[in-house]
Amino acid sequence: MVGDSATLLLVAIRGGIRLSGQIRLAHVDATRRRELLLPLPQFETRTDWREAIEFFTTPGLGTDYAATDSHLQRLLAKAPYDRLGEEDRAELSRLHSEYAYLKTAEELGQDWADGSRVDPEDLAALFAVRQWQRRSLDPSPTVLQRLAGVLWEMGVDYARHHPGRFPVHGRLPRHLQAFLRGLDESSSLPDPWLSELVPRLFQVLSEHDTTSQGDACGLRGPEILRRLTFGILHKVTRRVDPGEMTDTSPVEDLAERDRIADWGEHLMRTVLRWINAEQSATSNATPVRSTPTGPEGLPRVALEFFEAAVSDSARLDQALGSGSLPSLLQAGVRLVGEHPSLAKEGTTGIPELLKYLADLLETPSRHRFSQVLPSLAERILRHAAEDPVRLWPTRPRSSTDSPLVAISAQVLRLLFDEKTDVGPISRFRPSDLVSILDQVLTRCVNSPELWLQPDGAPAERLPLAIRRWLALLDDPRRGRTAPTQALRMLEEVLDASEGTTKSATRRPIGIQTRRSTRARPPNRKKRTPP
Amino acid sequence: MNSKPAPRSRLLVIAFGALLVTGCQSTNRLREAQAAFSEAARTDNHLLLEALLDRPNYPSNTPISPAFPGSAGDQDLLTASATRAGYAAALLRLRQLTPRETAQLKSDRLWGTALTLRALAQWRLGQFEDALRTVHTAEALPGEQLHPRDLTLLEILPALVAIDHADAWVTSSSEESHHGSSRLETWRRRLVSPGMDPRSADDRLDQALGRVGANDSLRLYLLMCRLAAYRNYAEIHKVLVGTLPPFDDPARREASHVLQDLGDHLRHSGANLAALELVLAWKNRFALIPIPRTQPASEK
Repeated sequence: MVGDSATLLLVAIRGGIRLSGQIRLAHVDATRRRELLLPLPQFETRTDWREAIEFFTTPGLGTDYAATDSHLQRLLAKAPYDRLGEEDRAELSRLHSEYAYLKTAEELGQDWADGSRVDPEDLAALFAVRQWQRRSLDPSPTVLQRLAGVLWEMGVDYARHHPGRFPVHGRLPRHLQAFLRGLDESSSLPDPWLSELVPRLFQVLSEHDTTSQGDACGLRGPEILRRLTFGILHKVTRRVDPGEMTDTSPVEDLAERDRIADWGEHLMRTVLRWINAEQSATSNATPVRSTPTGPEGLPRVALEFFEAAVSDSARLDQALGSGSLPSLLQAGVRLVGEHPSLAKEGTTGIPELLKYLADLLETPSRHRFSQVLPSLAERILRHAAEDPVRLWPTRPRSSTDSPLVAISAQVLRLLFDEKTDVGPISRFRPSDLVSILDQVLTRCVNSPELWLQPDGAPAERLPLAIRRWLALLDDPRRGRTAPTQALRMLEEVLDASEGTTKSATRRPIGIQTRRSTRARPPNRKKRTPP
Repeated sequence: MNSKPAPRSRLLVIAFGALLVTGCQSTNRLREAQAAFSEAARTDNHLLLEALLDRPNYPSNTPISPAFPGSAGDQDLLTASATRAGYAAALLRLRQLTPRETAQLKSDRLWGTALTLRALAQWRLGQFEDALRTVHTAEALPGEQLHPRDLTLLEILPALVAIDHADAWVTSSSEESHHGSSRLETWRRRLVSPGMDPRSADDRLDQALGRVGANDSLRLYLLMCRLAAYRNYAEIHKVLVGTLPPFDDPARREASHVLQDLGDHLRHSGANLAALELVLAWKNRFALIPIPRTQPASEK
């Protein structure tokens, strides 16, 4: 085993040394062909009475306005005799500014006048100029052309030490072809970031055992891998390249590079495992198959997780950890599968929701929640998916944007006394906590009009019910209550709070619950799904 | 992260890091300079276009100075300072290149790109003589160092310098202090006259325009530069003669054609309809009417 690892290390380093040289050249090519935004030369943008007179006296410009404005006519009558005083000139200039604006509005139509205008910032970006106008004119080899040979050699080296796993003389496996295609589409490779990431992704794919399940990788597999490869490289480029014009600051340290490469590797490994599962699965329950939005659904959600994990604020990363990635990703993909409209917009909002959840649970003793958070996040994703119009946040910024997150946070706060670092929470195991929260969330999904205020914030009855339940648990006459019994008591309290004696709305936890068909209260503001 | 990468991956990372640090410094410095320049250009263009579009609530018709604390003029000055700082940062990064890094850039065929960027930054910082000297140095480079966009930029840089020079002259002039047609003629030759030696700014831009394709991303830039050349000539005309150039002035007529070209380009390139506001700003604010070019008889 030790010998095997040492051989693998040698293979990787040997390939890496060759690869690094090629990546450096690809980086040089990308710099050469990089877009440059050109500043316009300086010219006078202010106008004065002379432009005003020309505007009002030139047919096709402002003569119509001059014909109907007597004040303007009086001013213009002075002009030929050079009798315009300073005030007259200033007034003419002012009128010109107003009428020129009006004329523009008339010529561009009502939409423009109503505010549908081009942003000067967008116009400014139109002056970005490429080195070569068409890719075909660029004599530099593509990234793939630079790397393909070396990557192939790496694969051959690997195959030599793992005979049977890697078809040295046969056709390149489809999953590797897909990876190389994704690499080919990447236009820029900032170093040394991607020189770490690319070999690690390649290594994951090389280790992928294609012999046991053939090379087909499923119909969607290659396309998913291609999109994923391109997306990972693109997002890392945007994140770390000091030359990219993004809002995020460039990151320099080795640990950060390592973290980003870790996430890339982890994501690729997770998705690849799913593709394998798809290969061997007989049911339609695999994540890939349950995404009816086509091959873009899975990589899109996966890349959103990746972006959120590698962004500057690494809170999501710390809160969730990569260990929870598969289940969260699966919940997210399923969500997008059930609600394709989420994938059609710019972002599904999943990472935002998770980040907001992590923020809300940021407490001095957050370690108590750390075990609960991934399961809770998964539950929230599933529940929110049941009524996305009302429960899905477009861009969570406040509690009313994420009702289920706010409710979870409130319940956890009630269960936990930060001052003493103990409290009712101490009597529950993490799995019990998830069950408690799930029970509350189920109520909110089934009867939002009871548990949510019209603006989406938790209703008053929620803390009252929880406190009442906690008081019952603390009743000395009861003695120590077992977690299962405590859960039953919670159900009864919630029933009572809803004004029912029987849990008519009770249903199993999970996504396969029936969709709520209850009519929405008329006073509730309809939320547009993201 | 909960799962740590395998030890071999970590060793691989270290090996790559050691290999790449030395080879990429020069390229990264150039990339940083490119980024600083582009960012400054974005702000610069934003300010200029906002003033050009002259929407309500934007004080484009009020003089920038004197600025009162907290006024829009104050804000403009602050933004202008930040923009200059961006160009200066780009220039500084290029000046910091060591001989070894310069040699690396040359060997990577990036030296022409670096010199072009240096000339552009010097131009924006008002170091006109330095900019022209850098252009001469770059033009003497072997062909392998110069790539299409850089070549065009080096060709038009003297025109950009002339346009900015004219703007600076207008800003520092008063109508009372200048008279005479000879001075106007000098500026006409520098800015808008065709077929002169040395070539006028507009002539240089027009020749560059003749070489770029209909869909070239440089086309819009060159058209706007030509209009800027005319606009500054018109301002000089106002200073020296007291009026805008007459309608039959060849420079004004050519500018009308260029404005028509600008509108056609925006329409053909599928730009947002609202982008035509750019054309209308030239038309309605500067009284410049777009006029289609007449086709030569042979084409008819």
